[in-house]
Amino acid sequence: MKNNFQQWQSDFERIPPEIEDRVLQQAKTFAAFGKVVEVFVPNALGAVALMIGGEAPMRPVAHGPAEHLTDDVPLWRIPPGRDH
Amino acid sequence: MAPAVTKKIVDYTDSELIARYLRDQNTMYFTVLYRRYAGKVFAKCISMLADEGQARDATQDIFIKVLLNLAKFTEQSSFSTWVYSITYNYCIDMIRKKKKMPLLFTEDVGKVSRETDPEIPDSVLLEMKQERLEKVIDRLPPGDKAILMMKYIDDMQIREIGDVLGKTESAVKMQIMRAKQRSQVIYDELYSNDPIENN
Repeated sequence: MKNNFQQWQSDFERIPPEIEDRVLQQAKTFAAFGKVVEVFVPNALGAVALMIGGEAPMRPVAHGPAEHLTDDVPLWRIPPGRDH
Repeated sequence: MAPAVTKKIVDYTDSELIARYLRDQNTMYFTVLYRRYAGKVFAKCISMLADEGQARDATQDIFIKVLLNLAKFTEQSSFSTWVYSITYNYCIDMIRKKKKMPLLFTEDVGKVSRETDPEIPDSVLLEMKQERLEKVIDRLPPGDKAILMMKYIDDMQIREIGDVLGKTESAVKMQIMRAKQRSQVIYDELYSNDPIENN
């Protein structure tokens, strides 16, 4: 049961729909910008580090040499003849 | 075999929606939060700013602020209290900027009550006819208006109101008392010649 204050407020709760469009459009823009930053900033920092004579930060290698492999082999990649 | 029960997104709690939004950055979760609170935020902005155009802009700015600060929400209070506190502070700041000499609270107006003044019971405000209440509230200084809205619309605790306004609990209690006294004075000025008419 609403009191008189809450009743008075509920008279104003009909928000124009265009505000939702504007807010959610900005939310999408922020999300897209966040993804761009996530992808490009580490690479850009690595490039700057190399330019000033440092080393680029280590990143996971998709198909690296065998010595990079650890004993934590995924189950689906257990080599033939090797136990669990 | 019983079918798997999947929860609809609109049934998620605020905390679940926030956690999923922060994890996936999917605006679908934020949309649900927006639809849950936009009406109430808009209504508060209209009541505080007394201008629909400004209330639209304020609502948009407030939700962008909420979006950008979502990761800082620590769940020390409910999400609704957090959103409303951003709303009240935003509106009070806007009023402050608009007027060079803002009259935020009753003590700024000149009538400062003493602690010995009689306490006005809640029923004086809660039993006021809605259209009269609206006129009385409209004549209050913005700070008093906000504090009464927090107490009687949002059911906020004294501690939560203090957190929003940056005041101690005793200062908030005093402020509520002054706001109620001020409301009574305004009511008497407007309707002293009319017969008492309640809801």
